[in-house]
Amino acid sequence: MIYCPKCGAGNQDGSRFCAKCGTPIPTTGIRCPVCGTMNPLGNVYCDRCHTRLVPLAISVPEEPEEKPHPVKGLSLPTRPSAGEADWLTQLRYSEEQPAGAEEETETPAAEIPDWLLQLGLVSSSAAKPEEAAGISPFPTRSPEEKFPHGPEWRKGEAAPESAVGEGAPEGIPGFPERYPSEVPEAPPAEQVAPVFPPTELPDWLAELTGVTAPTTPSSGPSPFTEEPLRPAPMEPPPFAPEESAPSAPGGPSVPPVLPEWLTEVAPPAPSGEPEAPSAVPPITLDWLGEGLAAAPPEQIAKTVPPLLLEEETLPGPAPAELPDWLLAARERPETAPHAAPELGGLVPAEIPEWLKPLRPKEVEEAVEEVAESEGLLAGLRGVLPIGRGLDMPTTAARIRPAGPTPAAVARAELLQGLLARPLFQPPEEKSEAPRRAAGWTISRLLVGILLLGAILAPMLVRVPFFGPPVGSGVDQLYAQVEALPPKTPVLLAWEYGPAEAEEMDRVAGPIVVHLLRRGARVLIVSTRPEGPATAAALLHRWIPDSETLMAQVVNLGYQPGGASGVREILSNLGRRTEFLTGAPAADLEIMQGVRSVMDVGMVVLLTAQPDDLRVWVEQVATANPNIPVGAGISARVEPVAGAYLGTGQLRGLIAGWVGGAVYEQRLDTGQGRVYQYYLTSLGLAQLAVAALMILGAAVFLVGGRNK
Amino acid sequence: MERLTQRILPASIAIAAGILVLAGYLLPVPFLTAIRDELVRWAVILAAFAWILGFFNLLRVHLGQMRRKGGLYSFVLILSALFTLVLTLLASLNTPLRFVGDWWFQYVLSPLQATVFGLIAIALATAAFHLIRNRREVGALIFLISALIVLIGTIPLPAPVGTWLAPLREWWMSVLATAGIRGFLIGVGLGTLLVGLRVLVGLDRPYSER
Repeated sequence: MIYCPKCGAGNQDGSRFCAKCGTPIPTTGIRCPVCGTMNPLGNVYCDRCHTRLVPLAISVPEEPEEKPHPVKGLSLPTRPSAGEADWLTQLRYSEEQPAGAEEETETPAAEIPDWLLQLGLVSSSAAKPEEAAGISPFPTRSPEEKFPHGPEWRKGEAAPESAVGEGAPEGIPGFPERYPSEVPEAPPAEQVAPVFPPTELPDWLAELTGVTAPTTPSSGPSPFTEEPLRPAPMEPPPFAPEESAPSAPGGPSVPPVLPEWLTEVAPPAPSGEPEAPSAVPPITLDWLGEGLAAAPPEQIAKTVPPLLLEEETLPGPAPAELPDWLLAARERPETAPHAAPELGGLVPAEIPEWLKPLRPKEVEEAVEEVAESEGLLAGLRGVLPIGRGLDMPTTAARIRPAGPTPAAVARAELLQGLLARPLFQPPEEKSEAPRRAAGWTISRLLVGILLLGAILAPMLVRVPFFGPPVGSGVDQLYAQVEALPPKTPVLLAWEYGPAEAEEMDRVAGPIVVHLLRRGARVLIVSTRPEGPATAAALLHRWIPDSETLMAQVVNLGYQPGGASGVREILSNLGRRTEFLTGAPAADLEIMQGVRSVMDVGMVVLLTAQPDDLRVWVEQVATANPNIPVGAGISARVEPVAGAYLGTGQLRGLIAGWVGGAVYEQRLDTGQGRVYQYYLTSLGLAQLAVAALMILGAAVFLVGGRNK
Repeated sequence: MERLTQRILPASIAIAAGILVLAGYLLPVPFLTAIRDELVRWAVILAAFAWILGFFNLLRVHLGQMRRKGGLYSFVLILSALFTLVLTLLASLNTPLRFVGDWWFQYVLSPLQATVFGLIAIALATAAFHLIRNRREVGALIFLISALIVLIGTIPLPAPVGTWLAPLREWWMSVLATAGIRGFLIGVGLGTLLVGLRVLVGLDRPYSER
């Protein structure tokens, strides 16, 4: 997969154009040593795995599209030609491999022609950068150093090696001295054997190298004294030797074997004797750069074979075929041999996006030039300002805590819900409670409607079937009051309040009127706070305009203390004060001769509470059995009062509206119609309630009870 | 010291007061009778003072509840109590504002209390309707029959229903109901006596927290 340099879309390996945007994709790229992805030239990092493709020690040019210098010298065409030999094709492919892979695909020595080895054109260490820096990875050792413990014959084997040149890598015979600066001057011919015999060299090459024809054995120093195949400086082709084989005129001859392609491209061998070496100075491989510039064109055309002339026009290696970092490494020694790696040359776009926010930002603080306006330094600029923060409060800035994360909020809500849930909630109650509440609501509505109808019905229609009321004890109480002599003090215990007044007023009213008619002096007391006020209200309604009757009544007010209060009342009637005026009771004419309960002729209890009746009966009737006690009570107290009525502790009794109606009929106060209305409403309401009870019993007996 | 002030001294005072009052009722000695009457008078005064304490306690409790849910009702209660207190104080001074106090009692307090009390009738009727639903047993059936006899027997129905139902109700009330009430009253009397004796001997100390 190779990625488009423009849009970044992934394309199949070998694609020439981007399938997405159509941008031409360089066919040659840099293969990532980690993932194997082909990356466009100029990439510093792999598009797939972001592995750095360019070593840090090599600066990357800012303009990757800069046209590289054409490869000169023995650069071979990178495109395979039709007649190309297989081993050359392999060499070319091996050249295209990156530096790391090149070492793995190093061409075995067995596949390299001997002649090329002898020429030193193939070297496994030709492209090593450390060698370019002048450091030889192969330390030069003498035969004795190489085989310090070896046999003598082994030491002798080193002789041919030394004949090739000291410092040559081991295992590569004929490897020349690689650094031109260290290359000594041409040794004598008898000391250095020639790389190959002159008879095997073509004429054109012989002219270049200065090797004499085989027919003319050279006895003197060869004019080819310089390195004949020295590559151009700063061109480290991977397979080409960095320095030419040392010329060794007069060296041992090598069997003339030429490859076929060299034979084909070579000019036809001269039929006659080879031309004598001309006086033209020998041209090294630098002739492409120096020799051609110095020699006249005629001489070039005469001496340089067409092949080499055409080599200038041959399509050299495409600029894209060499990685940028390699091109930069080629030029680096010329520009800055020991300069530090230009990390700044990395374009910002090559920094990954995720790394950009992490880059330090340069904060430029505007430096204000403060001009002093006052003091001794007035008008001066550049005076050091007062240090920041000196006048700032020393309190640390409050750090606002970070808000809870959504996950923490969710967990907190779940925990809060669990805590708010009751520990045990029976499922029956959940379903039963609303249904029961609804049932009770319906029942109450039904009862309310029935009771309301019972109250309103007597206003609309006449109910004729109700007869005269019958009440027990009414006649006895009426007889007791009738038996009282005039101006007899009668103590009225007013033990009910506004809540029970609607019923009790219909009971107490006839009794009070009867007492007043009999000329009795009525003394009103109460052990309930609202009792005196309730009594005053009743008197105001029942005896509105009769000052004579009202003069017979005295309201002695409220007595706290419950049962103790009753005792206090009975013991100290003469010490009390009048409720309305606050006057002492002893000063009132109506209270003349009355100091305690022993001075009253009768006690009448008006109460709606069973406990009040019990307390009063116990305190009065038990301690003073000679004092007659009557009672006007609520209907619900009737069962309790009936117990005292049978024992004689109560001499008479009026219970509820029925008893009041009976008493009113006897007394004839003029409110008979009101009592009739009340009794009719009461009768209807009681019938309705009785009907509800029967209905409810029937329904639930038949329907069954709920579990 | 704490034991003396919190247990011994209160118990001694309560026992002594009880014995003196009881002796004043039982023994016809003028000294004991005078002491009895004075102690009863003190009890009345303390009971009156308890009303004042109760009033301020009511204010304190509902002032605290005003800040909680349903505090509006507490606010209305406090406002009504203070208003009634002021009216009653003004009425006791026999001023012309007494009319306002009387009007407040007659036309506000009395109808409200009567209305609340009247709701008891509806509640009792509803409970009677659901009587068999909640309790299907002999006791409930007897209660139902008794209630029906008293309710219907109270109504002055014409003859012939009223002629036999009213005596039945009368018998029911004078015999069965009275028997039950007397038994209840005897139980109350015995309980009162027992509680009095326990207080006299110091077994019950309602005046002390311990």
